[in-house]
This record gives sequence, C-alpha cells and structure tokens, in this order.
Amino acid sequence: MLRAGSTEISVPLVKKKNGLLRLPRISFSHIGIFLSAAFLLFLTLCAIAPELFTSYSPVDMNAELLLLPPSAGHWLGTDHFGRDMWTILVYGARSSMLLGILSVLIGSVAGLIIGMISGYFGGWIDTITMRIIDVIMTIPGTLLAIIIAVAIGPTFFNVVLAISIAYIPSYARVVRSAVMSIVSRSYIDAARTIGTPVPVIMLRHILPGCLSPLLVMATIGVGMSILAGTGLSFLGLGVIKEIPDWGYILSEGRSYITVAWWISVFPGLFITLLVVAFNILGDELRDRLDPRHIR
Amino acid sequence: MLRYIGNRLLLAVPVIFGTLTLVFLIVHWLPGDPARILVGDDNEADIQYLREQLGLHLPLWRQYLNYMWNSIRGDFGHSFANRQPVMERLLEQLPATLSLAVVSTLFSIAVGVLLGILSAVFRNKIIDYVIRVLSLFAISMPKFWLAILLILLFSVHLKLLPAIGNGSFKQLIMPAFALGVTGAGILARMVRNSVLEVIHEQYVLTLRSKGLSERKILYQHVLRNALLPALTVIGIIFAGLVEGAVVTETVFSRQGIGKLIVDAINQKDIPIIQAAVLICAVFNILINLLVDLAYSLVDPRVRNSF
Amino acid sequence: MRKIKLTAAVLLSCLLLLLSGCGSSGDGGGGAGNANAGAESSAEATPAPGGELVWALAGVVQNDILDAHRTGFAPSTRVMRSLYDSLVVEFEDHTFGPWLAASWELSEDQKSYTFKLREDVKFHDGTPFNAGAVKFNFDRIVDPATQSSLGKNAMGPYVSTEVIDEFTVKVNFSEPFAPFLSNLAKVDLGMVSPTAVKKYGDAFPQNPVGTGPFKLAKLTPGTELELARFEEYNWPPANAKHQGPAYLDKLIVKYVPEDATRLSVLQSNQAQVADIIPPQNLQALKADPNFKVYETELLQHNYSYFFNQDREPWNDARIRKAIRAGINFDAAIKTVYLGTSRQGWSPLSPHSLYYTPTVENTWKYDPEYANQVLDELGWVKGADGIREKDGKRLSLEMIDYQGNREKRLDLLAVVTQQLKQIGVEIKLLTLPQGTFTERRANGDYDLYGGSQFYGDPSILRQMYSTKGPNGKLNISRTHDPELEDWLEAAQSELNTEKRAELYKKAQEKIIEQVYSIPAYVLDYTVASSRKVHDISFDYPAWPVFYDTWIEQ
Repeated sequence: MLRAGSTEISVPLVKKKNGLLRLPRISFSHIGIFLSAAFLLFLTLCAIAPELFTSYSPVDMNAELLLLPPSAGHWLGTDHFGRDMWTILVYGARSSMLLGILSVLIGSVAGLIIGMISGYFGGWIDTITMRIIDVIMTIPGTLLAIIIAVAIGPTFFNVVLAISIAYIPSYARVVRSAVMSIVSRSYIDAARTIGTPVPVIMLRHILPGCLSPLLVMATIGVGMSILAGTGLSFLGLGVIKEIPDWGYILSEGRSYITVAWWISVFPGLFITLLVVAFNILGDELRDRLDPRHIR
Repeated sequence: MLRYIGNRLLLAVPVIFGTLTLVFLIVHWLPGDPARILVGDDNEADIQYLREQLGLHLPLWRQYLNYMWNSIRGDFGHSFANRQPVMERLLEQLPATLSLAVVSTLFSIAVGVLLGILSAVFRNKIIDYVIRVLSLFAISMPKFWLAILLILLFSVHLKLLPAIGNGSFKQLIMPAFALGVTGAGILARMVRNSVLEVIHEQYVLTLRSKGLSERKILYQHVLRNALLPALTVIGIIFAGLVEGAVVTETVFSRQGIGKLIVDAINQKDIPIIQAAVLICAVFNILINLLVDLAYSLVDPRVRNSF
Repeated sequence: MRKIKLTAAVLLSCLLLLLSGCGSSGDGGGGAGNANAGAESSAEATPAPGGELVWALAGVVQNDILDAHRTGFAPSTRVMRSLYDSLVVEFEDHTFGPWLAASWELSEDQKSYTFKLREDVKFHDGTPFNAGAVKFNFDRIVDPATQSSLGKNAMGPYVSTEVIDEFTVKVNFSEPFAPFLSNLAKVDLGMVSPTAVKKYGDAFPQNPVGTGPFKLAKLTPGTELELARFEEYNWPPANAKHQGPAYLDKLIVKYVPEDATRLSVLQSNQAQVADIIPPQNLQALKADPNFKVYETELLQHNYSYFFNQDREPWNDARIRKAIRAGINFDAAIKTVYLGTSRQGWSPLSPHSLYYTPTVENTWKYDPEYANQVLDELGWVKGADGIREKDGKRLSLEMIDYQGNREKRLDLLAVVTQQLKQIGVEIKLLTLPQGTFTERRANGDYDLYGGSQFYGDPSILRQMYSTKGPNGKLNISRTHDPELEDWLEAAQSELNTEKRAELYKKAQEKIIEQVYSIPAYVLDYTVASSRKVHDISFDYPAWPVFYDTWIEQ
C-alpha cells in the first residue's frame, strides 16, 4: 500500500493545471493555524490581563446605557444592564478557557491512567474495566453531565468535574487501544525479560506511545468541553457569577433577541471561534502525528 | 450471521443489567426529596403521606430489588409527578424526538456525504476550502446558538418558517437543521479523509492503469470502501442526538424526550429518569449492533471473522 | 471528468431546491384574526360566534396536570379557569356575586354556609351538578390522597358538607372562616365532575371534566392543548357580558415559555394572544396598531426577599433594616423593568383586599443610615469592601431554582451591586428544585425570594405565622406571637372593619420589622391581535375567554 509520502507521484483524480509538482508556499492550513494561534493567544491574554483590552468594568451597570446597539463607544453594544458587551466577553474568556482546559486535563489524565492500567495488565482487570466503561458509555454524554451537575451542585469546579467524567470513558478507550498495540511489540517483552520494573516500563516505553492520540483527542476535546459547558449554562445548570461567562450571557440574551440581537449573537460567535481554533490545532496535530493521514 | 446477532444480544444483557444498576445509583444520588418537591411547601404531614404513597420510605436495598424485579417484568412504575404510567408518558414523547432525530440524521448523511465527496474530488480547489471551512464551523457552533439565529432570521425577520410546534413538516425544518448541522460537518470531514485515503491506494492506481473510467472508479470502488468508516460515525451521530434534542426541544418549544428528561431530573421524578436513561442506553446498544451488522454486510472481511 | 462535476452540481442543486422549496410562504396556525393592516377597526362591532383562538402561553401546564384541586402553578391555573367554574364570583371591589351558587347565607354562629345552587348546570360529561357534587368536591379537596395543597389550605378549618336537598348544601367549619367566599371564587375550589373522577382515577388530571364554558378536546402532552366550546353552557358568573355558550369555537393553548419565541409567534400570527409580554417588547407592542395590550395587576403576595430568621445574624431586626436601606428599588426596577413595573411597599399587592396604603414610603434607600447601623453593630469593612465581624463575612447566600422568571435574577444582580456599596455580599446559588427544597426545609440558606398568587390576605398567615399550615417552616421563618395572634383572629373575623384593622396592623408590623422585603408589583400583561375582542380577567388575574370573540 502506498504511503502518504508518495502521493506526489500518483495520478490525482483532478488534473493539475501544470505538470510540475509544487506545494504552494503558504497553504490554506498555514493560514488557519496562524489565525487560530493568534486568536488563542489573544484570548489567553484576555484571561490573564483583561484590562489591556478594555477600559470598562464588566460589572458596571448603567441605567442610562441599556440595550445599545454596537457603536464606536461600545463595539459590541451593551446588554440589559447597560454593561459593555466587549468587556464582558473579554473578562469572560478566563472562565471559558479554564472550563475547557481543566475538564480535558482531568478527563484525559484519568482516562490515561485507566487506559494504561487496563491495556497493560489485560486479563480480568481489563475485562471488568471495559465492562464498566461500556455501561457508562451507554448513557449519552450530555445526559450524564447534566445528571452529575444536578447531583453535585452548581459550582464552577463541579461543572468541570461533571464534564470531565462524561468524557473519561472515550479517553480511556483510546489510550487502551494504543497501549494494547504497543504492548504487543517485542521490545516490551525484551524489557520485561531483563526485569525492568513495571512503572518504568509504563513511563518510558508505553506512555510516549499513548500521548499522540490522546493529545489529538484532548485538543479537540477542549472545544467540545466548552460547548458542553455552555450547553449546561443554557439549561440553567451552570454557575452564575458576577462576571457572566459566555454561555450564561448568551442564554440571557435570548429573550432580548428581537430588540437587542447582539447580546446573544456575539457570545455565540466567540464560542464558535474558540472551538474552531482548538479544532484547527487539533487537526494540525493529527496531521503531524499520524503518518497515514492525508492532507 | 444469526448466531452472531444472538451472541451480541446475549452479551448485551449484562451490560443492560449494569446500566440499570448504575442508573438506580445515580438517580438516588440526586439531591432532593421527590415528595417534598411535589407537595410544594413544607407541610410535613402531607410530605410523609406522599412519601409512603410513592414507596420512598422503604430502605434503599428494598427499593433496588423492587426496581430490578419490576424492570425485568416491564413494569416501570408511575411518574411521581402526575401518576401516569411511565412507559405511556415516554411513548407519548418519543415520536416527536424520533422524527426529529431521523430527519436530522438523514439531513446530516445527505449533506455530509455529498459535501465530503465533493471536497475530496476537488481537493485544494476553492470548493474544497469552502466546504472545509463550513464543516469546521458546523462542528464548532453551539447548537442552541444556531437555533436562536435560525429563529431570528427565518421566523422573526423573514417570517418564512414557524418558530414552534411539532405537527407539520415545516415545523421540523429548523430544528432538524439545527440538530443535523454538526453531524453533517463531522461526516463531511470524515468522508473527505476517507475518500482521499482510498484514492491513493495501490489498487486504485491499478484500476486506472487498466483503463477504467474515472467515474467507474469513483462509484464502484472508491466510494464503497471510503464510506465504510462513515457508518460508525453515523452510529455515533444518531446516538448522540439525545443531547442535541434537549436544547433543540427547549428553544423550539417542541415535545420530546429531551425536555422530559431534564424536567424529570430537576424534579427528581425517579421512575421517569430511570426509564428514560434505560431507553437511551438500549437505543445506544441497538445502534451499535446495527452499525456493526451493516459493517459486516458491506465488508466481507469483517463478516468472515465471526 | 466533466461528468463527475456535472453530477455533483446537479445533486447539490437538487438539495438546495429541496431545502428552499420547503420554506414556502404562509404561516402555520391560527384561524381568523389575521393581523394585517387592512381597514381601520370600526367601533365595537357585535360579537359573533365562531373562530379559533390560539393562545401562546407563557409557561407550561406542569406535568400535564389539569386537576382544579391541584393548582399551584400560575400557567396551569390560567388555563384551568376556562375549564372549571366556581360557586361564586368575586368582583373588583371584593364583593361577591352568584355563579354556580344562586344565593347563600351564613349561619348564626358564623360557622356554616348554606348555598342554594343553580338547577340547570351540567358537567362536560353530562353529569348533573347538584349538592351531592359539591359535597364530593369539598371532601375530595381535603382528602390527602388528592395531593391538593393550595386547595386544601383554602378550605381552612373545614369539617363537613351536608346535602340538605338536591340543590341545597351546607358547609360546616370548626370556627368562623373569613376567607372562604374569596377562596370559593378561585379555580382552587373549582367544581370537578364526580363521575369523571371515579371513572379516571389517577388519570383524571389529564382528562379534566368541569362545568366551564370550554371543555378539553385534545391534550398533546408537554406542548399544547385544545379546548372546544361547551355547547350547553348557560351559567356564566354575574359579571359576564352575555349568556349562553361562549363565542369561540376553539381555544388552542400552546406552551411557549421562551420570551422571544412567544413574541415572534404572536407577531407572525401563529398565535392571536400571548401573555406576559417582556418589558423590552411592551412599549413597541403598545404602539403597534395591530395589537391590543391588556394590563392587570396580579393580586398576590408580592415577590419579596425573605431572610432566614432562624440563622444569625438575620434574626436581628436592626441588621435587616440596615440591609433594606441599602437597596435602591426605584433605580433597580427602572433598569430591569424599563418602567413597566413599580415598587411594592406591602407584602400584599395594592389591589388586594385590605391592602393598607399606610405602609407606602415607610422606608427608603438610605445608604448612610445603612452604613451607620452596620458600623454600630460591629461589622467592619474588610479589604475587598465586604464587612466582617468575628471572622465572619457579611455574606448572604441566596438560593433559587426558578431561574430568571419575571427577571428576578436580573433584579438580584442589580441589588447585589447596590449592596456591595454598603459592604454586604450576596452569593446566588441556582439549584435544581430538589436541592432547593431540601435546603429550604433544613434552613440551609440566608436569603431567598418568592411570591404567591392569592387573593385573600389570609396568605399572610401561611407565610408569617407558625400556626399556619407549614408551622415553624413558614416561608419567612417568622416567630412573632403578637403578629400570629392578629393573623389567627383575622382568619375567623367576619366583620369587615375589624378584619381590615387586623390586617393593617399585620402589614405594618411585617414591614416595620422587615420580616420580608417586597420588591416589585407584577402587572400581568396580555397582548392580542386587534381583531380579538373582550378578553376579561378573573381574579387574581386569570384571563377569561368566555366573552371573547374574533372579528372576521
């Protein structure tokens, strides 16, 4: 079977304009990566130092400035309390990013541990673990997150926990497959024969092999977690804080959609762009890490 | 073949058993006393009376055994909220969600596969870029945001489509679109990758060198093999519709399982939650089974391994 | 190669055509009553029978329960007003007129009412309405198996009902019960068909049978219901505009709890009536000649903030007064309700029976006073501006489960910012209903907000007295023996002046001691297309469609 590296020589389905093989200097994906990285950098700065980007305060309620459309003084308009929308979105970047990253961090670390143990030791440990995971996976992810969120209460960390738990099974499965394919290779046997202790085998030989598929899943997972989090806010299960997070202000804006569409539209746009950025990066990671993947 | 199905179904039994137990545990872990919620105020006498009526005064293990025994016999009890038999209540709401799920999945498949193929065939041309950008946005948008935008555009401004309801086909369009867009995006991306992978395989080159027309290659060989992985994705999409259904039903004021479940969770209507989650689980298992079967039908290599 | 491109293009355009073809013009629902400009609406034309009215309900009929004796959710009760009649009707001036009961008298000892019923009334299922039916109804309401809450409380010290003859019935109480007639006028004590209850049992709530001008034709669970005219109807209340059956053929009620969707449904004529118009849309709708807007005050215990008086330091009236002084309701209400609502001064809404205007303006926004008192009490402002004493922050944990209904959470957001200025912190916890009820029962909260629709001031006993149905767990956690005595006395005091005096003192004390902080007065709004005429309101503010007709 031809490897991706040799696609240049095969005859493509679509005829090229000229016969010479030349990759363009700046390709579509380069633009995408650049934009995503720039956007994420911008949002990270917003999360760390929001004052850099706006002079208003996100909790400044002003009865004179209710529901104003976008203008020079208020780029994205004002909301139903007279707060500046751009400011709210800038300050809200912190909780949105934190939600996504923390959920994925917890979910993937837990999934990594479970998957590695299950995949390495095999036998009844594996069977039981996989059955439990099967059972958990029969409950749809969002439903599980909703139930957990309702059960443990609406604090920020609990929402993060709820979302991570819902994703752990998928991470565990992916890691397990990777581990099982690594374990079957001969150098593992070799290591075992010479008496290398188990933790060392796991860390030095197995872990690196799991990382790439996990990393790809995790990057895309950040986007999915953020969407799940905003979904929970929408259903009223999120956290209400002084500085509204993107999902909450989007939800609030719903009843004003006919008189002030900007209260819902812009937060949704920001969420979408954030998820797009993480997806682009995730795609790029997958392209680089998985040799079989065709661009 | 039959033996395979039989085997799978048999294996599903302990899983369902496990799910039933998991659901019971989760549901009783939820905070709140259903009797107190239903009575509405803090009249202790009323609450205690209702608690006994609902069987909540029994020790937990007794409730568990009753629950398992009844479930096996198909008796899922009565909703705490309005005493309606649970199955009846669920079945009332199921058709609306099902029709939404089916239509949106069909939409996802039709649009996703088509765009994926186009994207692969015209690789690196404008149309490819456009489709890739669109799919990227499709999988990144919050569903309820899209739903709100659709209502804003088509109901409020253009006055073309109805914003609520679930009787007619017209009322299905926006919700199905909102729900199906993500699936379409996922499929478009995956089909594109799949087709590209296959196109570059050796046997395609061989076919070409044999002189087969491009169209024949595409239809008879490439597509068949490329669409195989798409089957698994379709399974995932369909099963993942419950989540989308919850928000879509809320925004469009439609009937459906999604809303029913969320309300039940909030009110701690235990029998409804248990039965609804069970249905989702069984559904999941069935879909996986169907997808595996479809796989085996299309790919003889898989079939022979049973 | 060209062929592939061609095929693809054809497929794509087919898809696009399919999608666009579905979105043809025209709307989905509603019969007559198109809201197009057309001719200017003439002076009141004569009512004519016919037409279907679609009502976009702001809420859902909770759990599809349409049992009159299980009221509790305002949207459900609004719908039920059209299905069930009551024995008497209450007029705006709080006097009573005949409805299903033609006349009544109070016994010498004031503990019994004897009602003479109309003789021509029938239930939707043909069952005749008589004394036996009334007895069945009252006994059913107090029966624990019915799970009635508001209804049961509305029966007060009920003892029994005696059937004197086919159309005469005597209702006995253990002591005089002043709110009875007012409660009788409500849906909570509406008349249900004994035959239907016996026939349907647990399924009665989804198969309601009453004597109202409309009967249930079809119930689509969770989404909508269809009411059809009851042709034999001929017993409207004394303040109705006509006799005989209702004009409308059908009243279709669609549940649309989403504000923006409800508005768009009204404006696109998918519905001809919508209620609870959000403040931000109210002005525009009023100015629009295609629509009519009705506003009526909802008689209720106003939405108020309740401290947990069982917990320190909220048991100290001085701190409660100080915190109240830190809230500028005037500004908050202007911001949140855009001028469509007003401040509530008493726990009771202004048109309630025995509302006392003496409590108006008895307190005001006074941050200096607040700061002074809090300083005196030893609460010192910390580094972040929030006061502390003995290591505890002056922080109120507020629990809620209803979400931003009536923009209550928006109001709270403004109030939170205001209280920050005097060093008081509010932390809002939105909880699922289960957790909320647990915590409230266990007293695990500092503050929460609530309202209760109710016409009679006896609601005060339920909310402020330990002798009420919830005992020590009364909503405001008040334990004030003097207040309780007044409220108990008012319960059985049938003399209007004496009763008014008792309630006046009660309201004054509640406000003076800050047992609750009333926030706003709710005006229930209904908007209809201009071709819909004669929507009226039963009290406490349920829309009545009996006289309603649609201009063709």
